[in-house]
Amino acid sequence: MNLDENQNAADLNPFRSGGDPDSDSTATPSAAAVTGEQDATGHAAESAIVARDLNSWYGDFQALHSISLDIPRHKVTAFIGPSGCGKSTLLRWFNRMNDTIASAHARGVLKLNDTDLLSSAVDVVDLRRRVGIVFQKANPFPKSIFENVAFGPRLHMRLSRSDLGDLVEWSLRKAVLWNEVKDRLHAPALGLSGGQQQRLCIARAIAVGPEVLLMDEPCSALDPSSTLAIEELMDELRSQYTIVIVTHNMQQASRCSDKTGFFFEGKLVEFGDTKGVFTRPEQKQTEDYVSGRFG
Amino acid sequence: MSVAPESTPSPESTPTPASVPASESVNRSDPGHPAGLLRQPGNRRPTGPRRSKDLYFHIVCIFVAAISIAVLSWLLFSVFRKGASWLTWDYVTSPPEPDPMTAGIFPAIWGTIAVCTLCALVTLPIGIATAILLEEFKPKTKFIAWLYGLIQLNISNLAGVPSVVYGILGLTAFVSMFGLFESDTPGQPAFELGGTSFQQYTSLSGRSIYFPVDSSSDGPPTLVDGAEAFQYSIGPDGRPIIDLGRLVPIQLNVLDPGDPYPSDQELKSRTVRHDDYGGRVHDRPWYYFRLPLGSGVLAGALTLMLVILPVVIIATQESLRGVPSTLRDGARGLGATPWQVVWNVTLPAATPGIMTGSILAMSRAIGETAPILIIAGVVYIRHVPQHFMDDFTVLPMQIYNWIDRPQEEFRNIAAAGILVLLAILLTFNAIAVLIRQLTQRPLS
Repeated sequence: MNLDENQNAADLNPFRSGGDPDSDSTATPSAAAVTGEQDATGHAAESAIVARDLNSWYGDFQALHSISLDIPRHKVTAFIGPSGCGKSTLLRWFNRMNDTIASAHARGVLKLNDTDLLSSAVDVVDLRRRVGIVFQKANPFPKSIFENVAFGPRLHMRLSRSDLGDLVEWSLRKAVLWNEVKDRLHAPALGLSGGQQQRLCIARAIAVGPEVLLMDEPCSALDPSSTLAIEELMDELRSQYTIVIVTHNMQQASRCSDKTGFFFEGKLVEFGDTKGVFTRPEQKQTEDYVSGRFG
Repeated sequence: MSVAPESTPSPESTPTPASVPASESVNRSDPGHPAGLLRQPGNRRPTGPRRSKDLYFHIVCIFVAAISIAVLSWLLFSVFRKGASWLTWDYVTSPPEPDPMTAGIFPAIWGTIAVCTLCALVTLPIGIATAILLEEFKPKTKFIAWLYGLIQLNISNLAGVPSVVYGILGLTAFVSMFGLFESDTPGQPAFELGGTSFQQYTSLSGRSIYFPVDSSSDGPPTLVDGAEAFQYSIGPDGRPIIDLGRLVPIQLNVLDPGDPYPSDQELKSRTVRHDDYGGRVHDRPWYYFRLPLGSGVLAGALTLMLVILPVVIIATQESLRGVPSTLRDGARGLGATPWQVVWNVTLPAATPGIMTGSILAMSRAIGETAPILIIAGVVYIRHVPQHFMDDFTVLPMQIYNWIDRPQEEFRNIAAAGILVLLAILLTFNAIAVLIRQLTQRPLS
């Protein structure tokens, strides 16, 4: 419990003074080290997101059937499965993006730390600050690069010009984009390449200091080198953020995730350590899918 | 070769002569496949009826475009020929006169500018806000959804209502306000704010005397000796300052029957005959307000608002729908409130479309005649509107008024008025396009 609070203090602080990024990187690894220890014991408090018997519908169509899983903190969790299997739906429940679809509703237990995510009392605006999302198609705002990254922080608090500049630099450095754009921060974001735009969207998402970063097929529209850049970025970010990635690319899932969940027709067929899922899957369906026999 | 008898079963191939045996053989190599049909010689792309159809369509399009351009240029040419020589500086700076040679269009120009600016200031916020409500804040309950549907249906229907009908609505809703504000005196407003009324008399020396009266009272007030009245103050040059806002008080003297005729010049200047009927004058500053609104600038602007509101709402809805939902999701995903999404993302992205719709709507408002005819009537206005309740006329009304006269000269100054109307229309549009360009630039 105590540990939980410490981590929240580190993670929740949305706008850790970007002035000296070093102070963050020194603070967080120690927390991550403690996390690692705890993880070895398999303690329940290590789960950032917990789902129990979660069912979800679009109107009458049931998209998710009785999903139960634990998303570990400060790890990368990958969701794989054929199109329409419900993995994006589940992801979009994590920050209630499904609220924008009128017919979507869910029943069951879904918790972020100890917050009930499905409660009508949950403040979705605050939730989405804590749980950032990166979409399949890069969607920078038609503004400058700087304005894109500054957009989120500006929504939530008033920052001085220099603090905002520091925060933008910190976010862009985190997203491994700073060196490419530092000379043209005020150029239109839509002038960037597809891969740069996607990294800009990641920078934009981490600028508000989320605890969890959701990625909905972030590389599906990118070329291999941009994909590599984003995978390296995820590796970089995992020490500080809980990352959940939905992907169609099984190599990507095996390369960069710690845990993998295989979904099929709205059911979670298998969920476990990535290595196990890909090398010794327990279910026949999983084995068929990861070995490319179907899907 | 026995090609022809073989190909008779399929009607498509009959018109094609068997002159290209090479492609015929290609066709036959894959008889069942639809691609085989495409490869038939008669259906090859660059020749045949398809090409000529394309050409005919092109010619028809050019012809139709030419007709509309010809009609427009003929119209402009005839107006120019009639009106251009009458369009002088005096014409645009003088009030209308009974004599067409000296008549001008100044009050109508300012009437149009005042009514349309006021109309835009009222319509755009209401119209854009309505569209944002309908598009961006989707209903959460069945009842609200039904209400939204009702509003939407009404907006679509209102867009098709003839403008003269809006004139009648404006007459009821704004000019007389459903008779809700009946005053004791017919023709007088029930509620007034910011205006002063005077009964104006002429003193024995010829100076004007203003006696303050209640604006809702009818007929002349009773005058008594020693009552407080007002006169124009005298400027440093010894001439009176003609301004009802800067009157100086005097002590009124009434010349009753039997009174001796005053000889003192000072006394004469503040003496009124007891049987002087006088006339009513009003001092109304720009913020003067009354209920009901009467046939003033504000009532005209609100009536034009009714005409163009559906247009503005529908255009704004269309451009909001055109904003990709990925942008909204991006902002929502960062924890933006619904209002922050609208204000920071959706509205800026939709601005060019909203501006275009608003320009079209305003152009319509500038040229609209029928509702104004019902609200204000064909009136002879010599002055620029001074306040929101002032009587006014607009360019189309003034043009309509002149065209109706029998003399040929009036038709010429009407043509000159049309040129002024077109110039104002184009200026309004140019300003709006400029604003649109300026708002668009940082986005792209």
